[in-house]
Amino acid sequence: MAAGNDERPLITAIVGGGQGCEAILRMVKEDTLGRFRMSIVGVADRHSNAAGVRYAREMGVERVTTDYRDLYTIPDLDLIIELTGSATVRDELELSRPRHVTLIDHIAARLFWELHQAEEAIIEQRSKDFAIQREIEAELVRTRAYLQNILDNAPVMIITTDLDGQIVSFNRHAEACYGYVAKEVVGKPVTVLFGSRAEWEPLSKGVKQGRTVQDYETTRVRKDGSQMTVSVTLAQLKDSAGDMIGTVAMSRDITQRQLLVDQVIQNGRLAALGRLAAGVAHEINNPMAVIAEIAGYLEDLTEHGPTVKRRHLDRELQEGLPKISAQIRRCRSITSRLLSFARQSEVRMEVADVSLALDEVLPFLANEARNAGVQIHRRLTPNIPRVSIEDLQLEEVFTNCIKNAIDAMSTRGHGNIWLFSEQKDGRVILTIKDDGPGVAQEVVDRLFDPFVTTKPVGKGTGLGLSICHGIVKHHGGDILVDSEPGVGTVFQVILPVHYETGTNDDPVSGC
Amino acid sequence: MFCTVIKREGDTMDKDRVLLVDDEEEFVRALAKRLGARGLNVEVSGDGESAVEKVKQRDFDVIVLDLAMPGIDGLETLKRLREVNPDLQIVLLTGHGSIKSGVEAMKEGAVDFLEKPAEFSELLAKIREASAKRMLLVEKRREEQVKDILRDRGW
Repeated sequence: MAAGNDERPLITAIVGGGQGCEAILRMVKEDTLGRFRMSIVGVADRHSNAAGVRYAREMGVERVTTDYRDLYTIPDLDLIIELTGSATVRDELELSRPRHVTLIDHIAARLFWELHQAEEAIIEQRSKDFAIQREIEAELVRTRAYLQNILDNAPVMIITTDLDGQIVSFNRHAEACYGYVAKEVVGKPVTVLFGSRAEWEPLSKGVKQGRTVQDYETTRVRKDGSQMTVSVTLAQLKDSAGDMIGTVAMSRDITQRQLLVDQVIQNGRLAALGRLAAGVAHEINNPMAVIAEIAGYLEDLTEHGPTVKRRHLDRELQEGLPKISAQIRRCRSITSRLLSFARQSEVRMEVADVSLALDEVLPFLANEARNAGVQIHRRLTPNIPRVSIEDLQLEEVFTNCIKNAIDAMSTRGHGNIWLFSEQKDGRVILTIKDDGPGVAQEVVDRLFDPFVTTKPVGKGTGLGLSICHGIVKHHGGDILVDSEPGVGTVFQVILPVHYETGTNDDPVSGC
Repeated sequence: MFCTVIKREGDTMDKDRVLLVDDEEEFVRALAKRLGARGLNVEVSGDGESAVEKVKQRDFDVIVLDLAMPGIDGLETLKRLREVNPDLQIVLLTGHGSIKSGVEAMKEGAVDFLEKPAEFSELLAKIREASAKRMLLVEKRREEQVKDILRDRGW
């Protein structure tokens, strides 16, 4: 290998113009990178029509011959590769070659060829692996874009925080609802969105303990300072190893719904007022009918003047007029009762007594309960403190809850309702328990949504319980429901104890 | 108008026989006097049960019935009265807002109803109307009876 380390390519000739020859020629030709520093300048084969010979001619190899000895005259020939596979040819070449020409016989050539093939295979495999890698990366990019798309187009606010409560992501819906651009709030404490900073601590604590906060209704503040009511579901954000790395919150803006519920409550109050007015009109109509007839009778007598004896008329007047006065007194007592009731609710608007409210409500429901075959058992604790709610509203709540229980049992035709009251941690709890048919958990979950009803079409509007819930929530209380199909339902109306302003020690007992 | 309707000393058999049923004592008493002065033969009952007893004892043309009463209510009274005598013409007096029970009572066979407090002239008109209906009914019955008798005898 005289020119082994030189820069110039090896001047090479091939003996044996078969397929091996063609393969080497092609390899050299296709090696555009110039990795082979080899220049094939001659090909010899006895068959001038062999595949390699033909290809050599096509390629324009300088010396294509049928006698290998012609190759020896090639100037600066470095190497002859013998590809005939014939030991005789190899031996002849070995003996006849000029001494400066190196000979590689077909065995060595095969080794080199196989090495080359192996390398090719490795390269091919590598490029395949590379293509797969690229495919995976592209897939990753697509997946990420897809997930981002979901986040961006989800019709719900999705906000994630790190463990310290700093905002990590803020989706497009959140941007739209809050009026912030994500960049403005990412990295800031999530409490910038809160009405009250104190709210975060207990929330995040619960979530860190593994609880998921479900449909929690609260107030949030938009960029412009306005408030919105949201329903939040908050859970742990975990990494792939399952360790908590922050929180993820999904919230819906329910301001509109809240307004609707408020309106429903207002309408409920109007309806209650309407019923009251109807009751009053009804009560006043009776004495009015009496007055009308007595006055009418007296009119009859006076109109009839000449034919009625003076004494008779006097007597009838003496009898009739006090009767009219009595009926007027009756009307007055109705209106004055109404007025005092109105005044009372003006002054002590937000105080009610659970037992008294039940006293008011139960007689109205007695008929319905009897018709449904339902027995109502009072198990009230005496002298329980009064609660902070308008008494009329409390009556409305009790009426709805008890009526609901009665209705649930009316088709069956028998049942029991127990009423318990207790005081606990500054709250008064009225428990309404029935042994009715109960409802499934899915229904319990939606029980306070407006327009949810299990009653036949036309029987219930599904508004009663949502009104109750609204009223109680509005007064800082809560209504809890537990139900088991086939066992019964328990409603708990929970309201804060009313503390008389000025005397902040003891809650005032109802009397 | 008072003089035109009054038939002072007629045969009691010609007078419309009216029973007022209402628990409001002063109301029925004054109403009875006024109707009496207009030529009607009026009796009063303070509750449903005594009204049913009265109807069992003698015939009335028209009953004026209050729907809201203690004891058996107006609707029940109505049913029992019609059991005793299906020809009875019953005019209802209902309190405001009990239109529903009024409608129900009409289904049970009442001929008319008025809301309390009612205009006296209107009530009087309805009583007379009901009484006329009753008369027609009685005449029709009589005619049918005559026809039946004639038919029985081969006419």
